Amino acid sequence: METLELQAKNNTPYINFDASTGIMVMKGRSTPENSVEYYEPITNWVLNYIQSPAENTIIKVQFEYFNTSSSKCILDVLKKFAEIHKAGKSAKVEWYFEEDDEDMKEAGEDYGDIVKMPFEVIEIPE
Amino acid sequence: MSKKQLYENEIGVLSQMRKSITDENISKEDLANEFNTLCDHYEELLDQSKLITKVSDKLQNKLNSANEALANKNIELQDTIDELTKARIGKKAATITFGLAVVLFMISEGVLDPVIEAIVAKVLGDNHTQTGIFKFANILLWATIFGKLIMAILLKPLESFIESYLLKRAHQAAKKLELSTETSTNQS
Repeated sequence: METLELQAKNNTPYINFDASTGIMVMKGRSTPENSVEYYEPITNWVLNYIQSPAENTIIKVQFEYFNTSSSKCILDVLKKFAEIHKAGKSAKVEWYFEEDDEDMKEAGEDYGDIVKMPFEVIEIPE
Repeated sequence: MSKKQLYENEIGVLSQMRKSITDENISKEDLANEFNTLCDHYEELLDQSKLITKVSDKLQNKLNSANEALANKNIELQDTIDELTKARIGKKAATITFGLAVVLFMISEGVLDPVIEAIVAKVLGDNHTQTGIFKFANILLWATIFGKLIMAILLKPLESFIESYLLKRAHQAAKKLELSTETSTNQS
């Protein structure tokens, strides 16, 4: 399966989903004009990936900011990854936030409450 | 972006349930199962709504804080620009005053001093005695010192006047620029 890599732009995040290592990275700012259109190829890639995932899947999420529609799309992506955990394979989310960014920390904790898979909220020291 | 796309799955579940309700051939058991599925989806949707509302509010706070920080930085920047403008104008005013001082000094040496000399000579008349010459030199000295002192005292108020005039002009120019920017923004 090919790696999905999308470069970060002003209003879209950096995406690097590597099926061979199981490391998935979502990083930056997510305020696309059309969130559904932007996240559609990502969701499709995840749907394919969860059919035969790597031994260990780690989803590393590090957002600076995202808009409301992106929050729903991110949740949908994470829920699809949670299927791996549901199927009995190893999968976890690492939600990174910058030191002093309490809002992003709490957002991570809220996601952790709803996504049914191991979820770690990690502070990045300045 | 339409909500239909964003909530496509949820809308699909709702349509399915509506279809089942209007289906006359559906058994009570199947309908109960459909209803259970709808409840599960409803619960999930409620959880999602709670999360999205919470997260959205938090990120709005973050945006507000960022805007506030930006506004404060703008004020700091404006203060720095004002101070720099003041310093630049102060320097310009000092240069102009220095130039004027040089011109006044030259006028004093070339025009004023000979005039004072002539006046003093006329007052003393033909008194060419030693006392008369000494008196003449003394008056001349004090008259030129007094003239130069007056000029020196006037230099500081002159500098302040030039500085305030230049500042007023700079403020007017800044206001004009602000107005033209506002007009072009409104037009676009």
